[in-house]
Amino acid sequence: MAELMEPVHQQDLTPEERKANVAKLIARWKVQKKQSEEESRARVKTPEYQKILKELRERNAAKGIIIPEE
Amino acid sequence: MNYEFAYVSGTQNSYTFQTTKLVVYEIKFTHTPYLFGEDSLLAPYVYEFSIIVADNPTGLNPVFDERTSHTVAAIFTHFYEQSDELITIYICDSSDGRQLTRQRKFNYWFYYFVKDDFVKYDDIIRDADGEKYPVSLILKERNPYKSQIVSEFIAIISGYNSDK
Repeated sequence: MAELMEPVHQQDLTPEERKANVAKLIARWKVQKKQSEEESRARVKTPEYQKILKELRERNAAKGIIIPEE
Repeated sequence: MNYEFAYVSGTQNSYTFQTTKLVVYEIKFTHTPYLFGEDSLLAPYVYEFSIIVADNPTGLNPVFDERTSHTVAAIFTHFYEQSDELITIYICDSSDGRQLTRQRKFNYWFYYFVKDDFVKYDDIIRDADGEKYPVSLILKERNPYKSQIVSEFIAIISGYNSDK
C-alpha cells in the first residue's frame, strides 16, 4: 500500500455500487459465520487439534495455569 | 496473565486457546474485501474478526473472564504485527436479538484490554429488512491512511442506511 495515491478509491463508485458492496458484506458474513462455527466445532475433535490443545495445556502449566484433562 | 494460544490455520487466520473451564475458543480474522469494494486498494487489508466457541463441555454459557479477555487482546495484537495497515471489522451477531448487548461487551473489552495504539469507530448497518447490525472498524492509530479510511467507512455506512 506504500504507493497508494487514492487510498480508498471510491470516487468512481456510484452510490448504488457502494450499497451493493455493503449488502454483499452482510450477506457473505451471514453465510460464512454459520459455516465457520460448524467447521470449528468439527475440527476441534480431530487428533491434530487435540495435539495442539495438549501442547497448550503443557505451556499453560509451565506458567502455573492448570487446565484439567477432559 | 493470558492463556497460551496457537495459530491453527492460514486460510482464515485462526487462533485457538483453551480455558480452565475447558472451553475452546477460536479467534478468526477472515479476509473480506467487500466493505470498500473488491477493486479497492484497501481490499487486501480488510479482515473480519470473530470469536467462536469451538468446544464447550460445560453446557453452560461460557464466561468471558479476565484471562480470556487478555488472551483475545494478545491474539489481536499478534495478528496486527504483520502490518500497521491491516483493517478489522467486527459485526455483532443479531440472530438472537442480543446484538446491542454484544456491542456493549465488545466495547468494554476493546477499551479495557486492547492496547492504546488501536482506534475503533462504530456504526450500525440497517439491512433491507430493517435488521440492525452494530459494526466496528478497528485500525492502528499509526495507520498512514487512517483519516481517509474512517471517512470512507462513515460515508459507506451512512449511504447504505440512507433509504432504510
